[in-house]
Amino acid sequence: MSKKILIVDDEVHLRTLLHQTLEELEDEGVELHMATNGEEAIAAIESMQPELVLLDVMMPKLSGFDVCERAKRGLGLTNVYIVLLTAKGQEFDRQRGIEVGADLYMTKPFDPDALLMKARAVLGI
Amino acid sequence: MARVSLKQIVGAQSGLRPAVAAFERAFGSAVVVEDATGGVLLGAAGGSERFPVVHDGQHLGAVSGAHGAEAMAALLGFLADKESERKALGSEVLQLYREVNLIYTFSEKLAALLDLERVAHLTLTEARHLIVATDGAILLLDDKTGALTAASAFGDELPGVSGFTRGTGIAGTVAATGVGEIVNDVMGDPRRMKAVVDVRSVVCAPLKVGDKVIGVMMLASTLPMAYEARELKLLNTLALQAATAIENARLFERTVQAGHERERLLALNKAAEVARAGYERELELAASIQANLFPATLPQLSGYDLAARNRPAKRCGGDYYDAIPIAGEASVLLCVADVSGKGVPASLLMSHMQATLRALLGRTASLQELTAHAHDLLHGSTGDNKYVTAALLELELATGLAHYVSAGHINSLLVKDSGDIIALGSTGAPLGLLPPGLPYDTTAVAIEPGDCLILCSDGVPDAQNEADEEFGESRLTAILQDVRYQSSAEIVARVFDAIDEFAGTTPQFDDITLMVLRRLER
Repeated sequence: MSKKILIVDDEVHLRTLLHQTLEELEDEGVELHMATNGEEAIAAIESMQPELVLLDVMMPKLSGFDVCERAKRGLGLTNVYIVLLTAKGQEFDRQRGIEVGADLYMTKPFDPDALLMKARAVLGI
Repeated sequence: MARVSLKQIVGAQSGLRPAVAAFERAFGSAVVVEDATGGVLLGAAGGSERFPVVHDGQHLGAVSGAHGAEAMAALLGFLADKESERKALGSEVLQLYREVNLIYTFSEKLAALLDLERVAHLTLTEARHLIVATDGAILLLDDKTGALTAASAFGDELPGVSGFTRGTGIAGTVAATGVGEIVNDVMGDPRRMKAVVDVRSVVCAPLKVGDKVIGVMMLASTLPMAYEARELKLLNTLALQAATAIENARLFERTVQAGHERERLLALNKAAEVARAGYERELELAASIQANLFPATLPQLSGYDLAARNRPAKRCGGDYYDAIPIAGEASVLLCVADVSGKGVPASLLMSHMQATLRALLGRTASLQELTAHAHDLLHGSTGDNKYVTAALLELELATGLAHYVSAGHINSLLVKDSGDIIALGSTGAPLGLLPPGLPYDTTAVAIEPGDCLILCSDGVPDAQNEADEEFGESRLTAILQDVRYQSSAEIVARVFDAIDEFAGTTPQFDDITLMVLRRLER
């Protein structure tokens, strides 16, 4: 079964950039999926159980924290590797990140090369 | 053109499958989509007629089916073109994003650096992530000499190259104009520096703080390279940030250096203060020893009134006076002497003079002989330029008859009761100046009741005022005529007051000594 990455961000340009960054993984059989809000994200995580989720923290309605908490605690999907994305300079509640079970957080603007390396490491490719 | 595959198109376009189904219904016929290797991506295998899907002259796969397969193949080709454009755009955007991110992190890293070399090194390292180059250098401008010196460099050509100056070469031009340049044909550029042998292409940006150029940043390639406006723009962005960081680093370095210098000066000052205090204590001691060489009290001379005062120009002085009763107090020897020079060296010779005089007293037959002996002894024990002038008077108290010897000393004055003044001149050379064996003459002096004898050092007539005029003998004699009936102590005080009034704020530059002997009226 092919490995899956879910990209969650309410801003289209960031979804595009993240997709573009990871696109070369498609050649290696990785599926890239996108969600534009928290509810879509929960549904996608539950149905496809991706190995890696890139999750924006600041989203309307359900925040990245909420999505992370529901995935890890609510759905019990502790094997999903969740990267929280926060804007640089924005106050980030690290304690909250730890509480909801996030595996890593990255700041935006992100380093595309570092993100690609991280994705490869998480997927084991 | 970005690479695309039919699999990606079919997979990526989530709306494609329902569209294909609608397409099949419309044409009343199923289609099969295969990739370039014949693998089926859509539909069931097989089909009567196959139509290739072509994108950018490349065979991506084929569509087969009874009807509409050709149209479907054309549509997929069109989608492939669009997907390729999207990918190209996406990769361009990603590249720009990568640059933004690098510039962002570069600013953060720069902010943490206060060392000029490290700032330059980091700037070049970051620049290499963004711009392809085999060589690079950050050259800093010396504002005075116009020399451009490398703060950091990499590659085979630029490191080690020296002799860049403002106005010459490509880097020098950028330093002079403050405007960045792209030169993709360095070999054909007349400004090329011969020392840089193999560089083909150069992109060079000024390091500017405000309007001031503080250096240039240069990236170069030894392989043919077409640098574009994009690279220059990036380099300008990096250079702008680096220039500010370099200026900050310099400012910081100057502040640190100033701090060290201040500490060094404080330490020096403290050491000097300690040394000065030590010297001050020794000087104090020397002054007090010397003060003890003067007679604590002058002898009481029956029928005479004697007073004297000495005021050195510095802490220690080179003047000396003495009054020593001799021949069972029937006579007295008066002496005023002046050692060449001032301060501690003069005071040492003055103590020598005092010891010599006291040692010889009573061991010689006459005042002349005493003087000649003192001369020989001083000559033997002092250097060439050291000498003493002295006025010596041996007075028989009862008769007022005296012998006067002057070893190169200034005139002594005898103020007669009548007001006449007799100057007593020199009777021989200064003590210790010329070879031994010199004769000294003597002058016979009669001090009569009402007469007043003045012995002094040249500090009295030579005292200067603010207009550089000297006090002179005439001012002295005028005062003496005025006060000659007063007590000796009064006369001494009046003369000192007159000198001080005359000198005003001019500091005393020579030792001043004055001795006054009045013979009282019967």
